[in-house]
Amino acid sequence: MSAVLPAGQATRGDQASRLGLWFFAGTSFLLVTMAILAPLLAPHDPNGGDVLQVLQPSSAEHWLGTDASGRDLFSRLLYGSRTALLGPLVVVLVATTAGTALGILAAWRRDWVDSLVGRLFDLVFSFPSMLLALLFVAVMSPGLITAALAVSIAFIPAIGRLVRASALREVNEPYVQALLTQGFGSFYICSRHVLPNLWPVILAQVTTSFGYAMVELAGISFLGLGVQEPTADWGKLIQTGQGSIVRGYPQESLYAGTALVIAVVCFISLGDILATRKNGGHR
Amino acid sequence: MMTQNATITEGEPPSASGGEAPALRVEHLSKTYLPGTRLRPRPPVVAVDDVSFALPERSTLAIVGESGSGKTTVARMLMGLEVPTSGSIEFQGRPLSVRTAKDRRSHARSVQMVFQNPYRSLDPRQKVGASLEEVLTLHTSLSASERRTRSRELFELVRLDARLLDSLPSDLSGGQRQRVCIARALACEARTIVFDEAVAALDVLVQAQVLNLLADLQAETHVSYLFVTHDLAVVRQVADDLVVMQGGRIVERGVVDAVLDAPEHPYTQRLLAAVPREGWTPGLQPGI
Amino acid sequence: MNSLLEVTDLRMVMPTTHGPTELLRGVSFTVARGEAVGIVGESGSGKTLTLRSLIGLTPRGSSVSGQVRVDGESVMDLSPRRLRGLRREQVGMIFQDPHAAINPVYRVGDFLTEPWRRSPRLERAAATERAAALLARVRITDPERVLASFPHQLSGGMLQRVMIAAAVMHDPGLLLADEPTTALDVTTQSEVLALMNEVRAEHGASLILITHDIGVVAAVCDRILVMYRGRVVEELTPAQLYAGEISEPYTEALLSCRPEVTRRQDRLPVVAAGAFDERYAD
Repeated sequence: MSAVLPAGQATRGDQASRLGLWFFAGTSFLLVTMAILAPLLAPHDPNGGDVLQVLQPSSAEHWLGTDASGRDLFSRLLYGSRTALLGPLVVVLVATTAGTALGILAAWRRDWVDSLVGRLFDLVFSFPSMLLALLFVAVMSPGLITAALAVSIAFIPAIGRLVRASALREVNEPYVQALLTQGFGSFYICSRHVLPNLWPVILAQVTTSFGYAMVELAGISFLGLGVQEPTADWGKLIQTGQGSIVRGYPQESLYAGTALVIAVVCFISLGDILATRKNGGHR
Repeated sequence: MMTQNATITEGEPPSASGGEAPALRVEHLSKTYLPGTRLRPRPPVVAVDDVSFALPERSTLAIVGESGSGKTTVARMLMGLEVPTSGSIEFQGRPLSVRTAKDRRSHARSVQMVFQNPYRSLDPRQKVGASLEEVLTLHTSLSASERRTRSRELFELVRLDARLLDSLPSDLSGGQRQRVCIARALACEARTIVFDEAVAALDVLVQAQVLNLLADLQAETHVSYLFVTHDLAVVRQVADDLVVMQGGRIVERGVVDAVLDAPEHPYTQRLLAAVPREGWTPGLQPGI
Repeated sequence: MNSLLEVTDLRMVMPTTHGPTELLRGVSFTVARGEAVGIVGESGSGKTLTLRSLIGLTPRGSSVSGQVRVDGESVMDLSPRRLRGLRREQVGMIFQDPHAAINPVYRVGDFLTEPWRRSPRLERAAATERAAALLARVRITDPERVLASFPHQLSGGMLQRVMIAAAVMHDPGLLLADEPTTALDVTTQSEVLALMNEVRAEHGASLILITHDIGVVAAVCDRILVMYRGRVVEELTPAQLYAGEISEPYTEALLSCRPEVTRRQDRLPVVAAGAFDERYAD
């Protein structure tokens, strides 16, 4: 009995990927649960400060200490996860819906609409999302929704191009031609046949985008253009914690930064694994 | 240029009874592609050049040719997937039109197509039964349970086990999938079915079953077939008439047995000489 | 013995979700020097798996047993380095779809000169000259144009000639062809088969030709192996095939179910799926 190719390697790689998938999916699920249950889990009011308890180190009362206004950091971190997850959710919903619709439209038409959509994507792509956010804030008032809208628009081209490329492959499949010859309309074929076949690709991209959107939004908050005081937000916490760092209390920025890194790595890795599995499954 | 073999004249079916319109009539059909962009045009490519033929009711016509002969472009124009540059296409005496969604639906009821690749002409995420019911929903006013019953009947017609209705295409073999495609083509009771190299990818034993099945269906349902193929053995087995295409033009036409027993055009002779059979040895053909 | 290739009791088992599946169930055959052997069978009969096992290309996760000897060397015991050497120099491979077998971003010239420019460091001009000579061997009349073309600019038949040229580059003792003409037109098929015969005869190379078309095999090969469900069920010569000296019903079915170009049959014989399972069960 002699195997020609060592079979173990492939299986081990698959197992690692499966393990990673469960690990990151589990952590993401935990993060989401924490955000939803924040009011039940938080030991203190996230916005209620106690001037006598400013910049406290970790204690039984305040697990992660307090900030410069005497607010409980653990509670603020918990509540911060809500905006940290809500923002990217809005981004992903808006950007994916628009990007998918435009991508499929471009792939289906393949005429001037395709060129127009392509040029539009190029145009938006050349703007950093931070710059878009500045523009938006100049017109609308700063806040989570403004920031999320700006990032959504910045994210449309990436999703749109991916969907267009995948949809292009799909619409050239004989089954789409077959549906056309059976008399089905374009919208029906796109929404009932092309879209479901793109789901795995879109899902992977959504998860990755979620992670990146989180970083972008935290950055915008950090600049003071996103979530406003007193609402807790990780990006905001990193910024407000800056003042305390020089006074020897790095906790606020440190904890918020750590939470952000964990969440972002988690979603991006999950997206990567999903994308790889999708590609691995098909040649 | 054109060799007239046997009795067929342009667009005039030999077996058409009385004044009845043929299932399909194509006259002076041409297709010219303009490659390149509007700013940087390249010389036009004539894919189909002045092609005329008729497909009588309940008969089978084969369009034979090699890649680049224009035979697939003809099929795509018949299906409304390509727009002819000039010429006319009529199904049962009605000119082809696919302008509106309604046109396309009624066109689908007169002609259906079975594609070359049975592995990819079904939506990979849709159960095969659902793909039949979907067509029935579009073209009939049957209720959900009637659609289910009709799907079963269609599966019976193509000799497939009704239990397979709930399978995904990937669970089926190539032959089974191709039979699903045929069932789907029969679902809206089209009078004509176009087969674009539809049996080429099948194993011989399965191919034999499918060819027999098509003959039976024609006897049972009065359907007409148009076979687009390069396989002359299949043509001999299934077709009544054939046209041979080369470089977008028809170079020979006639009744199958007459043409294949005594081909007149050198291209037809060459095609026939290249078919492997007892005592055949592959040779480098002159003039290529 | 003077056999170039000896395959003894080749077995392959693949773990699937439904448990282990036997893909090859004891395949044994030999190929003599200069001999052409055809393998026919339906999809899933294991003919492609057999062919690929000969050069150590087995699917991931499969376990393989048995012996494959090329020139007396056991392929399964070769080091990865020797295995690459075997694939490069002793065996030439021709695939079904030449468009899929050549990297589309390189010109044909790059594809054909790549091995020479790497190993004995031939100058580019010299390498190109050798590539042109190679194309002349497969009767390409304008090698300069073909060398300067990208794969998509060439027809399937022309590209298959390029593949044959690449396969005989190192004058291998064994040519493996996996459905080399299935994607081609009939007249092109005839040419490609004739060319394969021609280049093979030059150096007395052996050939294993896989196809589902028993007519092609009978025209090109000295011996025909019929495979069914992972084993060779019959071995016969083309003369025996056409003389009706067939002992297995499966071979009979393969031959009789084929439509014939010379006559129309009232009905093609029908063989139910799995009709032979019992006969060829273990």
